[in-house]
Amino acid sequence: MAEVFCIGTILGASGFPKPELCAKFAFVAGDGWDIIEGEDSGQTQVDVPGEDDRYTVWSHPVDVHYTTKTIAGWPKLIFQVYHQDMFGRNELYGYGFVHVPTTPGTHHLDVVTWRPAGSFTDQVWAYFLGATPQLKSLDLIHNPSDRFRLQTVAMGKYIYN
Amino acid sequence: MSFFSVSAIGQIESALYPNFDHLYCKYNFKYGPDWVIVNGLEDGLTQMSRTSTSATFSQAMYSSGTFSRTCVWNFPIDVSFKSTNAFGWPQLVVCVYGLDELGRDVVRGYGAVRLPMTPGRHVLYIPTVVPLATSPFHELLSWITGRLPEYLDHNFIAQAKGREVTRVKSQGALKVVVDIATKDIEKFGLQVSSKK
Repeated sequence: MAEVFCIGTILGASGFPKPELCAKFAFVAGDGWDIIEGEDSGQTQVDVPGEDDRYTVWSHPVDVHYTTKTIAGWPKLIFQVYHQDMFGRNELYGYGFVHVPTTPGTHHLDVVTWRPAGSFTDQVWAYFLGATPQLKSLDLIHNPSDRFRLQTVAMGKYIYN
Repeated sequence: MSFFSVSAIGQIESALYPNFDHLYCKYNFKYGPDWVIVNGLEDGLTQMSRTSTSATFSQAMYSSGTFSRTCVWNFPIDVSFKSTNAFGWPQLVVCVYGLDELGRDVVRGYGAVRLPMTPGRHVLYIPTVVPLATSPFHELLSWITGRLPEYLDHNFIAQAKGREVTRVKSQGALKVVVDIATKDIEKFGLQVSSKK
C-alpha cells in the first residue's frame, strides 16, 4: 500500500484573451486509487485583476491524500477554465490537464489549455453571443484550437511501505 | 509518541502595492486537524509601515515593471509544528490593511501560501486579492463610507470550499522569506524531495 500526498496551490492563469477567469478542476485517478482525505474536485474564485492584466490570481489550496495498490491510473488534474463577464455570464475558455508528478518534491506545473473551435457558424455565434461550443464528454478531444496557459504549484509527497 | 516536526523561521519582508500606502499586515497559520503548534506565535500583527519616498523600479514578479513603492515590515516569523500526517500542511494566511485618504482602516488584500515542504531557504511571493462589491453602486458607497467589502472569516482565503461563488480583484503582493527545517520526516516514510 503506497500513499501519495498531493499538496499544492492552483496559482492562477495567464495568456487568456481576457483575464476575468475561474477554473473548475478535478483529480481523475484509476480504479485502484482511493481518497482518504481531501476533496478531489472544486472550483476557484472568479478573479478580476486590478492592476496587472497579465495575471489572474486564484491561489486555490489543494490537498489530497491518496492510497493505492497500483501505479496504473496515476492521478491527473483536469481543468475547465471559464471567463465571467461583468453581467455574470460564463463563457468556456479552455480545457486542459496535467499529470500529477511522479517524483516526490516541489514542482511548478504549467498547464496548457485549448478550446474546441467548431464550425464557421459556431465561431460566428461565439463572437456575437459569447457561447462557444463545449465538449459533451470531457474525455473527447475534437478539433481543438487556441492554446493558453495555467499555472499550478504542486508539492507532492510520497509514502512507501 | 512518534511524530515529525516542521519549523519555519523567516520574515514577512515587505509588500508591493503600487497605489497604496500606510500598510500593516495580520498573519496567522492555518493547518489540518493532525497538526499542532509546538513553539512560536500562531498569529501576529506587524507594524504600520509607509512606503519610501524615492520611487524605485520593483523586481517583484507581479509588478508591471513601472514605478512601484515597497512597504517594508521585516516582521520575524518563528514557529514550529509537529504532526503525524502530511495532510493539512500549514499555510501562512495574511490580511493586509491600510489607511485610505481619509485615515480609515480598509482592507487591501487577503492572501495565503503553503509553507514549502523542502528544507532550506525559500522566497515566496504571495499575490493578494480583495473581494469585489456586488454592484457599481455598492462600490461607490463603500468608497464613500470607507467600508470596503471584507471577508467575515479571514481564513476563507486559505480554504478550498465555497470559493466558487466569490468574485475578487487581485492587487498587490507580499514578499515572504522563510527557512524550513524538518525533523524525522523520513522516519515517517515521507519523501520530500527526489534527492536521497
